Amino acid sequence: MSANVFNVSHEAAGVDLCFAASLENIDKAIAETKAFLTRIHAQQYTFDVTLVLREALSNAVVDGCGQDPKMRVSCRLRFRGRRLIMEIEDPGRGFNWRGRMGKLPPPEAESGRGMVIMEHYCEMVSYNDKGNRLMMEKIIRPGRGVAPK
Amino acid sequence: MEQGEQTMDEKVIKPGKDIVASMADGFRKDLLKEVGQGVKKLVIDLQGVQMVDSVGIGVLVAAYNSLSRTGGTMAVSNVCEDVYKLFKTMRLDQHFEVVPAAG
Repeated sequence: MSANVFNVSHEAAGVDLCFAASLENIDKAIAETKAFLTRIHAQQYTFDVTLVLREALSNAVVDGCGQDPKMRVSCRLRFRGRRLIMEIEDPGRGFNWRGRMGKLPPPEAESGRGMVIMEHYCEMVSYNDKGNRLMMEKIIRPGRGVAPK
Repeated sequence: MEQGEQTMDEKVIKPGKDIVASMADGFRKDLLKEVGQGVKKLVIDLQGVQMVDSVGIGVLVAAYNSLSRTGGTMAVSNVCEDVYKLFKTMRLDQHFEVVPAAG
């Protein structure tokens, strides 16, 4: 069943995920991310990192792929120096991210908060020109103190 | 989803798991069903909930919007520290009552 495709590749300082575009697979990706954060002794960042990844992966699965399980979402996590680098890509048409960044929707809005959340919890958020590949960076200090912000 | 103590006017809903995209559709239906049955105050007890993503926030706001149209009110209780900070950042506390977990 293509909907069940979920591939994991463990690297020395990272993890690569590639999976069928379904909401259930987002939960699996989050479980793998939690295991990776434990491996690099950065569990104190679990909320921040899994929150921004949920936002990015939901956008990729829902908006990029229309929840079509024949389409694949990739998620690449790398820990370099003090930075956790997260790259998420989908095969969709992309979107006009330039007009969406930094704008908190009105309180009664029932959607539109994902990008604001990613910008708030990460030090850097950027898209490729087309808008189907996202890169986020978060400063991580393994085993020390609590997450900034 | 667990349904807690309730009266004719107030109903307590305990999702008991993270409010995220994969469960949002079912949870939205549950909440809107309560609103449709004329509850005056809806309390969503987040005990045991460690994560609410933007899809989950959208479900809570949708329930509040529906309730407010019928003159009802809503509160979200037992909110863990991380989620409480997120709700404050998103200014949800200006929309409906947000009560942090004790301790």
